[in-house]
Amino acid sequence: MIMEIEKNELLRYLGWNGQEIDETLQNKLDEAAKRCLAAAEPRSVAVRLALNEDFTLGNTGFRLEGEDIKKHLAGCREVYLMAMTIGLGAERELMRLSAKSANEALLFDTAASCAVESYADDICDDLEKSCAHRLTSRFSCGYGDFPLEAQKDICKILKTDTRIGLCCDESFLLTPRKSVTAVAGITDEPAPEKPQGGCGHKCGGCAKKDCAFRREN
Amino acid sequence: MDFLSYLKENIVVFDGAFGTMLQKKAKERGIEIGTVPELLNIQRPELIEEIHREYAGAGADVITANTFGANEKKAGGRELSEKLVKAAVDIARRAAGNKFVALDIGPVGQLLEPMGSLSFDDAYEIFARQMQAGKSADLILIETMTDLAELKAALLAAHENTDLPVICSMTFEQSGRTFTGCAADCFAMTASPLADAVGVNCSLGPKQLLPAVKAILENTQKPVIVQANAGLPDENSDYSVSADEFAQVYKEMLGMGVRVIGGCCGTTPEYIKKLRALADAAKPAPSPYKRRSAVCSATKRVEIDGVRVIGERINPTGKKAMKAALYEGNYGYVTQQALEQADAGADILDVNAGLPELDEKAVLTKLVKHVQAVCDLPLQIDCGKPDAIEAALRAYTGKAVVNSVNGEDKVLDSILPIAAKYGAAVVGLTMDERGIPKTAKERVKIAEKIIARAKEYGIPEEDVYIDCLTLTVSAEQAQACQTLEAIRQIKKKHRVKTVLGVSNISFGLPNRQIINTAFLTGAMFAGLDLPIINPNIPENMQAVAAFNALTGKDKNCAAYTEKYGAVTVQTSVTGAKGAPAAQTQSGDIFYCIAKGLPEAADRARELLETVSPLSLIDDYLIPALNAVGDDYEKGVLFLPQLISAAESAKLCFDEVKKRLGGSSGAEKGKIVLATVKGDIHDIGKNIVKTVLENYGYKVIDLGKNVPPEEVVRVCREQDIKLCGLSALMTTTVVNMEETIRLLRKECPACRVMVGGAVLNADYAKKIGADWYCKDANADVKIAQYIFGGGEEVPRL
Repeated sequence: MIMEIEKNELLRYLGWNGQEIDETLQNKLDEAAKRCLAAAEPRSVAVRLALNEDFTLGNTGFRLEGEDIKKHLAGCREVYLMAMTIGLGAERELMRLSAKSANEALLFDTAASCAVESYADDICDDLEKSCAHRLTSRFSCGYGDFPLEAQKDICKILKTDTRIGLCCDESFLLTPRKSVTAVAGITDEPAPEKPQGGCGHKCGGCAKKDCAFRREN
Repeated sequence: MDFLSYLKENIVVFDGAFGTMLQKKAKERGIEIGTVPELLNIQRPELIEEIHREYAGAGADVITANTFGANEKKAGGRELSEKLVKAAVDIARRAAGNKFVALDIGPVGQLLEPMGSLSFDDAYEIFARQMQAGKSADLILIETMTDLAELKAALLAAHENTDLPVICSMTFEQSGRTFTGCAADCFAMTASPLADAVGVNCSLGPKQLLPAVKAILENTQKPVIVQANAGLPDENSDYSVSADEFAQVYKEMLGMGVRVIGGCCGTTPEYIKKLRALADAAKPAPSPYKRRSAVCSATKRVEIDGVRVIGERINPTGKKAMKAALYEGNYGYVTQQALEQADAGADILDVNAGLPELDEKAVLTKLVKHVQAVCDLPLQIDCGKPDAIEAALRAYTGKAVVNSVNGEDKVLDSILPIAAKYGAAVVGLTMDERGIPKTAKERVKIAEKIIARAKEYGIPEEDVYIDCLTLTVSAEQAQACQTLEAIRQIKKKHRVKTVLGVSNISFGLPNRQIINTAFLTGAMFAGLDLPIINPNIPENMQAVAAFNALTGKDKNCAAYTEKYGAVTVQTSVTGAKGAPAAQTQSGDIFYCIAKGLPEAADRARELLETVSPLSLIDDYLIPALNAVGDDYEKGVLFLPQLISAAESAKLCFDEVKKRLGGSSGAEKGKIVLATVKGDIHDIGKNIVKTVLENYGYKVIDLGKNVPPEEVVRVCREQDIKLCGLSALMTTTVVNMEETIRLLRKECPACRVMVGGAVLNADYAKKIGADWYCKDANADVKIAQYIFGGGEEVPRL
């Protein structure tokens, strides 16, 4: 599993807009990426489940709520339910850096966000390969009207706490922070030759127009 | 026969996997399992009983009730949890016949503070209720834990709410650590005092668990349990290790001294049958455990097999800045001190909150929590009050040192039982109600009393650290040698370690460090193991390095050479005055701040030769920061550049503060910041803090996951005019709204600014905030408006 921190993504997350980057800052960015990859212990869990007509998954009794996810999975009869995290080692390092320097903490935090997204993309590529069908882009709780509350059930079904050390708290937020849960539909089409990247890097269709991470198609 | 008596005489066989057995049977019969498998305890009890009977038939001594995930958080309610637990224990009892029934306790399913938002006390209560509901079992099995703090909450809940024996096991990865980074040896040392057996389960096959099992065996005197998986599951959830291979490794483990055996995921009655045969053929092997003096955090074990430095900086006595930080609740300062000492080479950190007017119990506990969140060094709880010591030991995840007891009976009898309960090491001061004896002989006598009393409470000599007490040499000159002599005698006669606060020796003398270094060196040669010193003073660490080289502890002087081979040695006696400031050609202070260069501090020092501290702030630093802020708003700079600039301005402010001698003349106003209850996403709040501080505002950072009441308390007590709150998601903005509502009621004069990913001006207005801040710069504008020096910022 090659998890990368792509420089352009890191800058995009930091709100970069063409400003000049001098050597000092470049070194700090490189250092943060290196440190993050060293601290990360990526782990994931995924299960393949039938998508029933009432939008429940397999025999779990868990129902996907919201119109957006239904649209997203239109035509799929199966899905992958997945969760991934870069682990508590990175979380501890982030807490240590927060006590030391806000800038180092910011850069590490951002690098860690890139890392977990990149890792999630890799997992989706692998799943696509192993099922030999094209997957829809991954869709997470909080995207569109897919409720954040579903995060808790996803964690329960995947037993993420004991399997990958990922928990969902009372506010339906994930801990460690740098983690993802998602659903990806298994389409009838064959898997593409070249992996498409798990979330497709396309979110222009989302209704949340003021999102800082929005990317037009 | 009760379980503990049985365990004493026999190798005990537990049952095997429940979850994977249940899944298989459910699938065969077309039964839906759902998100709470324990519901089957009520819906399909016959299925649960069937599995138990199969394991009982295979020869298990203990049948584990189906309660692993039946806590109220996972089950979704207290009543349901209680019902599921009771039903499960009844089913297990029916199936077990004359065998033992274990109440199975798994993780709550939420991460504890500081990495998550569940408090230790809440976790404790959840476990306590689950255990109460299942108390008709014969023992408690706490398993599959990955967080040592959560395990400790469960162990204490078991101890304090039931009379049942307790076995606990954690889940280790190939790295020998759990998901949270807890090491096997640290787990064994921390959990053993509170458990009747400790060990490992789940995650890996038995072979891969061997290194963790070995580490645990070497660090506990309690029986060790192993419940391995039948290897790792493949895509179809099939497990790879056969029953024969499984039993083969278990045979080896029994030889190593493992006493309790069973199976986890993927094992079946077939595996347990093999383990039964092993147990019947073997006799309990002796444990390889040897007592050693050692302490630990959750992630790091420190053995006292040479000089180990205890960092003394987190103690307000005689330290103005630390005192102020503790009064104000500024734990950011405390954690910085912790990290600095760790970087300087401390092995253990002392924490002390002994100030009048301070709630020592509450503050000491907070110190422990904050320091262990960022630093992996073991802690020494420096306190004389039993209730505060106990609270701090509860909060501490690891084996701590308690500093201290002395020869007084009432002190010994109030503090030693607490240290024993939590398995802490204890410092014994060689004094009693009559004061400090004048001779080495009398001090040794008190030490021996302490050692004997500790033994009565179950604390071995290895966990007693004797302090022969440093007296001021300028006042009582003969005493320095008595102290050293007492160390020598005690070390000769006992297996205890010795500890000593060093710097008191030179009180009242000029150039104190000269005396301190000599005394420290003499004490180490006399047998001092644990000097309590300031590791940031180079001579202290130099003396320790030299001692290790001279006594052969540092083989081939390798560590010494590595540390001092290529540096000009600093001393604090010549002082920083002699050191020339780094010269750069990087331009003036405006340039240095804009570029985020550390040389800004040099420029500030130079300027302070000619301008006043306040003028440096008003005429240089603030305008420089304003220019950076404007560039940020215009998009000429982006976030990391803004923060770099703020951080280099902070170095300048530090120079100003030095000049003003710590008086608060440089501060422009006090602001409280907090990430609201339920929310642990604090990166934005931390950025705001840095930027505000570097404009000269005093920031009281309450941290993350802060209850509304706590925000209100601090704002009220310190008469705060501006409070900043952050929240990430709609689910936590609810708590932001609640905090604002309470603030309005209790602190009507306090204005509130808010920020966070899901917020915007409309949303902020809806929840009653005065301002919405889209970025850190917006906060500065508001602070300037409130505290003077800025234009009006219209409220929402």
